[in-house]
Amino acid sequence: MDPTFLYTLILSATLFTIGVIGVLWKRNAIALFMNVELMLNAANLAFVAFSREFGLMQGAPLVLFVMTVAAAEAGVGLAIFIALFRSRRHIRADELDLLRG
Amino acid sequence: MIEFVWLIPAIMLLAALVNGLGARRLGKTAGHVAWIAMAICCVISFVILFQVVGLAHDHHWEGTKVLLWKWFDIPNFFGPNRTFSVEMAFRVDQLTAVFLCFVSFIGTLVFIYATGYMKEKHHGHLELDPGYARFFAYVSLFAASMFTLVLGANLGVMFIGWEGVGLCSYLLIGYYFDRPFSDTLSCADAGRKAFVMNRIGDAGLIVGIGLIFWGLGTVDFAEINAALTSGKLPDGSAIPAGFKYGGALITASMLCMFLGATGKSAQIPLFTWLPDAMAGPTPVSALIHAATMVTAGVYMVARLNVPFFLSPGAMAVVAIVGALTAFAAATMGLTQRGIKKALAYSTVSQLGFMFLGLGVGAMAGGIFHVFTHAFFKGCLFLAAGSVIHALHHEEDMFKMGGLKKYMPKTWLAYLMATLAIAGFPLTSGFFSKDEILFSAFISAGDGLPILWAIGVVTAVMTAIYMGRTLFLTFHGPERFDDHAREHLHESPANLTTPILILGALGLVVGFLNVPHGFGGGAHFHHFLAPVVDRGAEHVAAMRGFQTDHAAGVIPAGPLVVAGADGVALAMDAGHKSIERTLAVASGLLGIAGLAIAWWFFGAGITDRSRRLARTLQPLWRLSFYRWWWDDIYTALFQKGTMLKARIIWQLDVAIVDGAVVGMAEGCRSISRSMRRLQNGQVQVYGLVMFVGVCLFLVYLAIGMSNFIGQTAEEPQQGRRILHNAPSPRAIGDGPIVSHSILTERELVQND
Repeated sequence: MDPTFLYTLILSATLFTIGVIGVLWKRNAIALFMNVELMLNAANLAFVAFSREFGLMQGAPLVLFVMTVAAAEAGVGLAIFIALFRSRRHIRADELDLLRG
Repeated sequence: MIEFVWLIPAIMLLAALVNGLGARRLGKTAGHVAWIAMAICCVISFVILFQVVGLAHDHHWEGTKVLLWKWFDIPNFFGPNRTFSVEMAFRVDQLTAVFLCFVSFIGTLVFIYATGYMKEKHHGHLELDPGYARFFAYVSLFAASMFTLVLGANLGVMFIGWEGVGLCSYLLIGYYFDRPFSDTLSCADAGRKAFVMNRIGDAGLIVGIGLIFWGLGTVDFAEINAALTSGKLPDGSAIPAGFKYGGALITASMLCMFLGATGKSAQIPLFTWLPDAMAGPTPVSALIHAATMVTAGVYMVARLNVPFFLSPGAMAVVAIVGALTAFAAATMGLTQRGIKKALAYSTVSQLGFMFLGLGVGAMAGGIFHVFTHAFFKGCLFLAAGSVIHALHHEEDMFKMGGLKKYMPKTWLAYLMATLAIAGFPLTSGFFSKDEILFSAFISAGDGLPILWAIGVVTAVMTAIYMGRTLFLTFHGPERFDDHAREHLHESPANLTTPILILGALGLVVGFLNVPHGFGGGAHFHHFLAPVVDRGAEHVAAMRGFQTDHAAGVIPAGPLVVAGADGVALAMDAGHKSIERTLAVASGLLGIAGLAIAWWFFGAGITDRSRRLARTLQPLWRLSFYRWWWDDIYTALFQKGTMLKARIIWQLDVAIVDGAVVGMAEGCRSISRSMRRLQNGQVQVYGLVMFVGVCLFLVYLAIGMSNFIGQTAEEPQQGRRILHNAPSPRAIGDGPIVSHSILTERELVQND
């Protein structure tokens, strides 16, 4: 097994874990969002690593899809945050609990 | 027109539907819909009556059956090859035609009266009662049911009408369901009381119908009569021995039917509901609880005159119950303070008279009293309603007096009806009561005419209590307050016209049936005789008596007291003279009764009347507290039933409701704790999801490692046991079984 592949996977897992912890930990919605991007890109890294290791093409185009979705998500998400900020003067995720039971 | 007789109930049903569905949107139209429908029915009824009069010239005509459709067939009911089949069929004959006519005629007048009565004066202008359309929907439905009852060609159809009128009676007694009626009852309670008492009677009626079907295989009136008179069932076999003359089964079934009649027609022991039925609006008291519905029992007995005549025991019970009811209710009527209450006891008493007539064999006499009573009692109730309306729902006669000056038309109508019911000579009540009393007298044969004596005493009491209501209400000093006097006025024309018509007819309809003893033709009797005297004729022929209508045969029933059984007596010269003597005597007694009433109550509540009440204190108490009949029922039945009901209710609340409510409460408390999970914080959801995914991955990893280990060990055995049912031997074999279960679970897990 190519050690580069293994290192890439470890990096991907580390990035993903950092992202998960950030998503669960951070209170600022923008920071939360950045951590989501981190998770997405960790997945992208894993995709390309597997694609390269096994010589399969399916991984590479999927990365493009993920990036497109991430861009769209950022666009929509930031718009929501701006709208939220306008009405509430803050975007602390733990205080946005209107949907509680 | 006879083929279209179904139009009569159909029109009233349609009117009920229109009023019931239209409800408050109809406003005043509701009353017009109802009375016009009733008037159309009245016209049809009279056309049918004239046709029936024409057809009746043919002595072999036994009524026309109008078959609408087959109602139901129950094969193998009460044994093999015996189909319980009931047709939805109407029968038009003399008895039906008479009932159709007087019900629809009096109904029309009462409906017109009700359009004026069901209004209240508020701040100077008339307002419709809030339930105006509901009232007319109920009374129209009542009329439809009553017509069905008298038209039914078999006991099944009659039973529909019977239950229908009972339902409408309940609905209308409880019409003012939000008002109290007396110290102990609300109007709704009074309705419930009527319904429950009627249920007791109806249970008897159902058993009676069942017995008749069981014995004769049919419930059709014509087929019942044919089977009983010929002694053969339609298939040619003989009727059961119990259904022959004096048989135990026919007596039992007729007693059961009569129990139904005591409920509907308010006889001892089930009469206590009728006085409380006065909780309903006065037009209802007049139409349903005086003129029509309560006579359904009389109609039923007259309709079933053949089986009743074949059962002397049942006839004797009818006569005795009738006489006792007439007497008891008359005593109760003597001291009532409420004008409608007094009239109600009078109705019970008169119904007792009718049953006395039926029981001694004067079927036509009983029906004639139904007919005349409908006019004068309808008039009395409507006139009482006019008084109550004018005095703003004051029913206590002790707070009336002197109303003659203010309400001359109402007084006139009330006077005419009082004369009629008191049996003043040549009024209708005189003729109808006379026929019953005469039959009661001759039915005793050589024995003591005890029933006749009870009847005569009752007739005198009738005159006394009716005179009392007349004098207390319309004569003597005014006992109402100034406020009432201000508003006191004669009722409008749509109230007074119907009562004047009814009162006038109450005076004169007696001339339809002037007895032979007075040189009359007894036309009413002869018209009905082919229907209602069939039983008498059959029994007379069976026992070797000659009968002949034209000669004025008076059928006489059995009298237990004298030990005589049912015979038909030919009307000879001797009887005619007895009839004249009795009639003159009863006429004089009627006048005497009115005179007694005048002596004591002509000047209102005076020392004279008070002294009388004090002198006869025990009797007065017996009468005023209505023989404690209601209280006895309360102590004997009501208390226990209520206690049982309360226990069962508590059980219901604790167990049934407890289970249902507990289930709901359990769901609620679970969801109350579960909703805390949904705290609205996205990050908590994310954490839960993350932990969940982690756990799932661990689970998968364990499963995977097990699978890998297992497949390496013994793959064949695991598959075999999975696909084949384990043999009995394998179940007993411990290690293999546990092994196989383990394998199965793992395979399913990994599939």
